Amino acid sequence: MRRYIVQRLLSALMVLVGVSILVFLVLHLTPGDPVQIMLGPTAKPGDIDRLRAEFGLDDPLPVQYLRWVSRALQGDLGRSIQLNRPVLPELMGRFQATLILATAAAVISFSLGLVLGVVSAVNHNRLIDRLVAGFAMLAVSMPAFWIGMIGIVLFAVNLRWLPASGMYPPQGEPSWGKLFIHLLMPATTLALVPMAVIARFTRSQMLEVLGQEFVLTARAKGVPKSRVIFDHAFGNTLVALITLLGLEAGILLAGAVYVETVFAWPGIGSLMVEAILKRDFPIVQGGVLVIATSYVLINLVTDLIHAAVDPRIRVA
Amino acid sequence: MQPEPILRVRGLKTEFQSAAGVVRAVDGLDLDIFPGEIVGVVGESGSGKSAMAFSILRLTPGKIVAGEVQFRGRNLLDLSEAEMERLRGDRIAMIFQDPMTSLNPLMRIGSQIGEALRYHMGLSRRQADGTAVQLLQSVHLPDAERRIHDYPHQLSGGQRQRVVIAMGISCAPDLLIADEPTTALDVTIQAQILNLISETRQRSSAAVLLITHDLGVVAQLCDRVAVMYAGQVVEQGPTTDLFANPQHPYTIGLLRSTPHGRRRGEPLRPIPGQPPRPGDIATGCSFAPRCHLVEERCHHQAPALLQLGGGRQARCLLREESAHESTP
Ligand SMILES: Nc1ncnc2c1ncn2[C@@H]1O[C@H](COP(=O)(O)OP(=O)(O)OP(=O)(O)O)[C@@H](O)[C@H]1O
Ligand SMILES: [Mg+2]
Repeated sequence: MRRYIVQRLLSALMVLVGVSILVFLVLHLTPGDPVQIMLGPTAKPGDIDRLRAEFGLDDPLPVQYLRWVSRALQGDLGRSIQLNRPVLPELMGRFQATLILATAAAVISFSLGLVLGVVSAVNHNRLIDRLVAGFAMLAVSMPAFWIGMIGIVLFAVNLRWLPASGMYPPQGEPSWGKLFIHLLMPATTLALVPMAVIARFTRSQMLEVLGQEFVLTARAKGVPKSRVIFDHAFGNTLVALITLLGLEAGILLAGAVYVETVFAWPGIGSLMVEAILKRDFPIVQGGVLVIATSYVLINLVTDLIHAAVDPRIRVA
Repeated sequence: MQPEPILRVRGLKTEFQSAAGVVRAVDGLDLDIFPGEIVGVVGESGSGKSAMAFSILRLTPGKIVAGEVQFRGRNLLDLSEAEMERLRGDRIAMIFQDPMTSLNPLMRIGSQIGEALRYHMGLSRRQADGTAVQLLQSVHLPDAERRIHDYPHQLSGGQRQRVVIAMGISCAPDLLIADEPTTALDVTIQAQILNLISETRQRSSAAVLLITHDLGVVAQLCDRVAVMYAGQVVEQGPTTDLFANPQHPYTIGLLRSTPHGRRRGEPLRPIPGQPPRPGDIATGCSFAPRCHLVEERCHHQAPALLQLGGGRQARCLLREESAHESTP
């Protein structure tokens, strides 16, 4: 087990190094001299050269990369061109909002997805199974931003039950209650597709497990059907689904971009969209790095959880 | 006079719905098992042996449409599901063919053995662990105290089948159903597991219903044999008698077609033809199309299970002359 953890940590580290190289190169391979852009078309050649040397842009690429990484490790990701503020604190504030949204959506989609999937499998081919299947079909085939807009029109504009946008009301003290009310619609919108996917996979996985001989063995021992589902089938289903759940967690993070735009959620996604439109490269670069790092971490945690709950991996 | 059977199956019929229509896997099956004996069930693949076993425990995915399963005087088909659950694993236990798949990969084997003990005997987890150790010792698994903490993948196939047997006998059942318990194991392990089953029977006086393809195993281990064909028991009787003097043409064919059954020096002769496809409706004897002794009436008249004396029964019209009485 310890060896597995070390191996897994090393490979995560390597992926991170790869990601950082990519992010670094993309910036340096994009056409256009950043100094030229900064100083504008009227800059004198002497000034350009002086500034290039000052920024270290004449050094070989590996040297530049190492300097950038060591700064990044110290929390210095440069300054936003648009906001003229350090990138990292800006990103972190926004990332926190995204994390809140994605976590809420994960709670909704994982719990409901698993419950609906188990209920479908246990009531295989009965009415409730068909209803869940129909609902899942619907959820997957409708774009999230469209559902979000319908939600705004219905619950915010017509019924006035829920706020249409933002994380807190413009005025007044922030509170958990206010956050919850603002979170409800975006989180549900974001959760819909992963919930449907998880429900479908849970159903088929559960059916497969229920068809395995050890389930019959348990029944033959006199374990009641409901207990067999909880004590034997659900655990095996969940273990088989861990990888999918990890992937869905990553998808929630990525999907947050659309939902944040629709609901004006102050997350990293909407920040990135603004930054791209305004060519604010340090923000884009830092944002990609933060998102990629969180992907790698989700992956790592997924694998470690898998190893912790599945004895077959633990020993290997 | 024979003692009362602990299991008395009469006219059992089990159907499956399949794409091709209704498949009657068990088709009017009669079977008796007496206390403490080992009864072998043999028959070609698809003859309904497993379907019968699962029907007795009411765990078949198919539908039991007719018949009686009398166990210690009660018809199991009349019991509620809750009453069946109290019986399963306690009075009737079942062990399966493949020890690789019949254990839960995520549960320690001690907990899996202890499960029946906790449900049926109300033992605590701790007590169940203690009993699990004793059970593992009784099936000769070395290092039992340590083994109860292992997961199934840490055991070999033979060791797992020992665990499965320990699980089966944990509540000292009156009847142990074993569906091809050695088919998935290699030959040297097979003999050990079979010895273990017969040893278990002697110690616990449980009756054993042993489903197998291997007539050699039957000859060695079983007090009586039931031969199944197309969802029916076509012949049953004491093992030595039945092997020495088979009465049903199918049994004769079966014995000639396997190395254990034929006389020394005789060549192996497979039974010509195919078993009926399940779902085919036969009016007469289901074996008639393949029978080397077939007569005209066999195609129209369904034979009853005839009592031939000496505890022997056969389902064949040609044996009517030697029958004492026929069961309805
Ligand atoms: N779940 C099922 N659905 C549909 N048909 C089934 C099902 N289980 C069994 N059958 C059918 O019932 C018949 C009897 O099957 P069964 O498994 O009892 O045979 P068997 O005698 O145990 O064979 P084997 O020696 O290969 O184990 C077969 O024709 C099979 O196709
Ligand atoms: Mg079978």
